[in-house]
Amino acid sequence: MDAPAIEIRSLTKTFGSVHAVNDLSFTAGPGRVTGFLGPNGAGKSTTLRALVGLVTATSGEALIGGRPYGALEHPAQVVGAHFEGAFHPGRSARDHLRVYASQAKVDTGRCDEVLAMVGLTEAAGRRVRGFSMGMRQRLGLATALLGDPQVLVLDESANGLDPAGVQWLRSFLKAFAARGGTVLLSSHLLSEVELTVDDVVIVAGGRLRRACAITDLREEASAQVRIASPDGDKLTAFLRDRFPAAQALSATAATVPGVTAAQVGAAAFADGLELHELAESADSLETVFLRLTSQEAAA
Amino acid sequence: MIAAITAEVRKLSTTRLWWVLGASLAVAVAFMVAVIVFSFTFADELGMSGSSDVEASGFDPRTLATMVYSLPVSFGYVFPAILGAIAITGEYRHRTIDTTLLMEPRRSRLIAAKLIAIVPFGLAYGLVAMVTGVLVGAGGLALAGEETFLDDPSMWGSIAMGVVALTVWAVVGVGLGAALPNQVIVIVILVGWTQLVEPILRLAFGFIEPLQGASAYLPGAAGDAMVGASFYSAMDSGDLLAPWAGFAVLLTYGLIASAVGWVRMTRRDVS
Repeated sequence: MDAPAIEIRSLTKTFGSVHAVNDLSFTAGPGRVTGFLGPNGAGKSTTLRALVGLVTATSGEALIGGRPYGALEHPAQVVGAHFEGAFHPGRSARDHLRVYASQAKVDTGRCDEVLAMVGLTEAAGRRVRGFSMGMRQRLGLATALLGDPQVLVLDESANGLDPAGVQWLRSFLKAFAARGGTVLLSSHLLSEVELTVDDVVIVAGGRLRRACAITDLREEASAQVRIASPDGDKLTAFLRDRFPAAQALSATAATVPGVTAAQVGAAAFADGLELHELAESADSLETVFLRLTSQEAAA
Repeated sequence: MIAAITAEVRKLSTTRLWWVLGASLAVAVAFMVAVIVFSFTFADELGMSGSSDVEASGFDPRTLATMVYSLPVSFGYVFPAILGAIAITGEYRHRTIDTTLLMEPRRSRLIAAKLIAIVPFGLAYGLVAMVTGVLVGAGGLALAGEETFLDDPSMWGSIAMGVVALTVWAVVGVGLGAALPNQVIVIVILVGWTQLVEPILRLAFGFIEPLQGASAYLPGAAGDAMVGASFYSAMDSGDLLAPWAGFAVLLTYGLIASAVGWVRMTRRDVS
């Protein structure tokens, strides 16, 4: 059976005069890892907090399987959520989980089970005070997993993980989604979750900028060709005739978007233009992300 | 509801705070009771004042013994109150409130669970304080040749009420923490009020004719009243309420603070 989907419908949240979230709508479906991306202050945490009832929306709805979090009968058994830094430093990892075990309707055995799942068995009896950022993230995930939920809502859970940790989280979340689970993972770094997510929801300034599959975003990362010629005048004329979309870098160099090196090379050969440079480069996904979340995109 | 209470009890029992505060309570009570019993019973030997011999100071032996056994409440109540307050403020300070509300989204139920879960800890604090106070106090009285009244069942009733008073103080602390969920502010207010403001008010009210009756309704005085005597009332600063009236007044303070906390916590965003 598929897990419940997460639906955000026209969600708006204002704090005083600040619009933290502005008419935001998107869906995170079962069987997918959805990356909820945007720069710091984009409204990601506020949206996730509204989703699990920590914050009351000014207007709009945030639903899990069609119901608000507070209306779920045993919320911890449906949704596992974790927000940054929610530990008492003087409590051991196992005790932290044992505190919540009764409410998640599980026994102490399950606490050790989730600790094993996130690789913290050795550190189970240690106080959280001495934990590294990566260990805290793992314990946060263990907390979310306590009630064996079908939906995971994770706020910046890849933040502070070392490369091995990011890889571990990736395979864990992918496996969770492959079993039909719904995962919504926020991050301010696309590169951190690029290989983990199936879908992306990109927000900036509290507004939706793009919701699509990560593969669509990759296609958008269009190729461009950089060319240079010793004959500046001839280059200018060539670009004006052949590639009007080109952008001059200097009097003797330019970039041409949306084409391949072969196309530009053939045209230059046909026109008898001497080329000293002809190189393809692609916008990185990060550049596309930055473009989507930049201020100009808002205008 | 049982699950929520279990969680709250575990939150309190899995950090060092409860026993560090409990041990501090025992030490503070032992010290204050020893100092006061000593100064009352041996005042003449110390030559502090010619007339402050026990009888000369206007105490009958029974009142003196009751006053001594009320000292753990008079000087110890800040400890259960702080434990109760931190049961709530600690959640905000360490941001565990996020996970707590994820596990129990019904905030009224969370506050109720915290008010109930503090009771066994308050009882334990009450027992520790009263046992320490009675041991040191009765020892001091016996050493001075005064009667301890420990063979009197009604004295044990007063001592038991002291345990109840300290338990109610833990509940009041939870209410305060809910009303003012900033750990530093709530501790400063609790320590400042219990150690400085209320003692001064109780002495001051004693000298101001129209306010004399009012001092009995101050929370500390209400707690002392449950035992039936008070160091402060012994210092000529007003009469005390009847023990059960003291219980009602103190519990009312706790309920008012909890109601304020309930309004605050159920309406506020946790962000």
